[in-house]
Amino acid sequence: MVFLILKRCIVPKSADSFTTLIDMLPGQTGTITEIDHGHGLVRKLCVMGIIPGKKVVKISQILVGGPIVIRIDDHDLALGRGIASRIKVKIEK
Amino acid sequence: MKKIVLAGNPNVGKSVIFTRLSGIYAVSSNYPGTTVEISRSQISRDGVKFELIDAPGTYALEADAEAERIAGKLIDEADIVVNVIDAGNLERNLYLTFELLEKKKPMVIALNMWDEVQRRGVRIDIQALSQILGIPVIPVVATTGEGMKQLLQDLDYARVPIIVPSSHQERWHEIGQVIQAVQSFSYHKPTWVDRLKEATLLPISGFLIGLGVLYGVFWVVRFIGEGLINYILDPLFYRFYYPLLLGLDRHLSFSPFLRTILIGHLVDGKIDFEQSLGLLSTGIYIELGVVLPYIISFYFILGLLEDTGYLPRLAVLLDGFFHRIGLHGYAIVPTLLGLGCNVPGIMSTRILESKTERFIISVLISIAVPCASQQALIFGVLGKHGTMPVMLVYFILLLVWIILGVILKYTVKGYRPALILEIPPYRFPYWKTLLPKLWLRVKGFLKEALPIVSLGILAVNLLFMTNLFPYIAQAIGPFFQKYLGLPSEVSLVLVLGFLRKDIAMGLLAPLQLTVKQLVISSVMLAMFFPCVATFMVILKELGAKKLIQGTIIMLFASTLTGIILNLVL
Ligand SMILES: Nc1nc2c(ncn2[C@@H]2O[C@H](COP(=O)(O)OP(=O)(O)OP(=O)(O)O)[C@@H](O)[C@H]2O)c(=O)[nH]1
Ligand SMILES: [Mg+2]
Repeated sequence: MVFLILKRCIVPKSADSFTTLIDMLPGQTGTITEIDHGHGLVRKLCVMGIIPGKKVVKISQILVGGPIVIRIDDHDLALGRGIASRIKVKIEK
Repeated sequence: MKKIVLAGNPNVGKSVIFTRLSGIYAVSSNYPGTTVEISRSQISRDGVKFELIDAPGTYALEADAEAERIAGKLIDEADIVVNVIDAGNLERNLYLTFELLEKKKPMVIALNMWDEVQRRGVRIDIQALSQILGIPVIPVVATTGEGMKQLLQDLDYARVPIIVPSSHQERWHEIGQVIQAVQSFSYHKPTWVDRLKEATLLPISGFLIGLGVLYGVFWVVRFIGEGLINYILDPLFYRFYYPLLLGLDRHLSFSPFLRTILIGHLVDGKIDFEQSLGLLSTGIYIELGVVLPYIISFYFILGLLEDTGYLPRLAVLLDGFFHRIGLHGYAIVPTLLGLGCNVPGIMSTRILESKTERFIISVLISIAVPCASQQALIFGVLGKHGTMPVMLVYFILLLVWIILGVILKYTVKGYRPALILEIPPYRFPYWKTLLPKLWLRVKGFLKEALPIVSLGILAVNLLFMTNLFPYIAQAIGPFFQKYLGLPSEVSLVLVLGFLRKDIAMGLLAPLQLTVKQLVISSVMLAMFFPCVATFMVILKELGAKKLIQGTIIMLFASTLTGIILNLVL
């Protein structure tokens, strides 16, 4: 079961993306390439539509270890830093 | 009777639809996780009766949080599933829809928030969507009631979906295809309003706005509360109620016993609303004249914050800070609800998936978050001595909250998930949901508070009459005098505070305490044992073992704080 859930959320990786949501600058747009973490988290993000291939805009990064705010499909989401550091993105020029 | 279950993602308007269809108010607010319990109601249409059920929101059918598990179970029991969708967020919502399709239950889709979609220039081809999924799709606006009739009619056409969802891996891909077939955008350029909305989420402007909002809330709650007291309630009490009581007092002269119970004793030959301690004098006055106005003003402001959608933003801003005490930002929701009443505050921890986190927040709320009754009491007994002592009590409680949080972070082991939070768009608070919510909460307070406070005051009077009181005072009094610097009578106040915190005010007032003693008593009263209702809800939600652990922490923390305060103040 867990395996099934895991599988549905994985999309083939692309090779040239090493930036994470943390390193992205507010205002930048990018595409999620990979979510690098245990299946529990991958699944949780997946059911909310945070999956490889999605376009994201980074809105803000709250100070003192606060979360990252991103926009996907015109809707805002906040992600804790630990999670954000595991979401790899390819930044659009 | 057929069971209709409202199922959908969090914050899509299920509870507003429930209210519309059943006429029974279910609490709705503009943040995910408002509903944590099940509401049921009977509705009838063309003479046929249905049972309508409002479920907590969920993103998927197998989930971790208690609230989501409840939703999953309900869907299995359903005869008809009404899948409520936020039309403005169609793609994300369809994920759950596809999971529901697999359940092979008769289904209809209520495409809610249709007004917002039209305003934003999103076009959705309803017919195409209905054809692809093979079930009725009805556009509705829950807040105005548009489309509700149609929704009821179309329950007859609820169908087991024809679509056969392919393997799970393809799910988002498949949803993408549906979206392409039915939805088109017209681009809209961000305006200055959009920028202003965004500013509440940016690091620096966000914090400044957050501070402003919190300060404003505090100020407005006091302003409305005191306004109600000074201009409405006190005049009513002194001009109309007082003469009534006097009249009653004369008629009761035949029975000193009844007189003491109902009116209480006279202070300087007069009935004193705060000190006489009769059921009809102090009992009624404290509840309706002192606590009620703050309940009204607090819940009014909380309702505004909830319905505009500012709370999730506050959660985002505070997340980093909350992490230092082992929680995440969303803990602000239970905490704020706890400032009204600890019971719904602790209930709302059901949206959290970790038991550890639920325990920590519940303990913190019951110890260091004063409910509106306690706060009214703090204002009531300390307000006369200026703003400083009042602020001091809040400051001490905040400090306790932080220190206790840090200690719990390092001593209570367990799973603490990080923040993943959907931030809803700002919405205009709608008086049709705002006012019923306020009324529901005020009614809840009255139903709960009046009987228990009356009981408490009765108990106090009987204790005084039967001379049982000296025994209690003798037993714990010396400790109070020696370590807390408080007269032994305060011990009784603390014990009775267990019934309800607002009783304690009438008891503290006649003791002629110094400001220091009042500060210590107020802090101890807030920390020491929550009221019975809070006690029961912790037992129900977390079990006896956790309740005992929590109680030990509580006794320890409150006693220690009292002793320290007595030394340093
Ligand atoms: N503009 C608009 N707002 C709506 C509509 N329906 C609901 N809302 C608002 O959306 C917010 C969420 O509504 P709720 O009924 O609490 O949502 P819910 O699905 O019960 O949410 P949870 O209990 O958290 O799962 C509230 O602020 C409502 O006033 C609608 O049709 N149009
Ligand atoms: Mg709800």
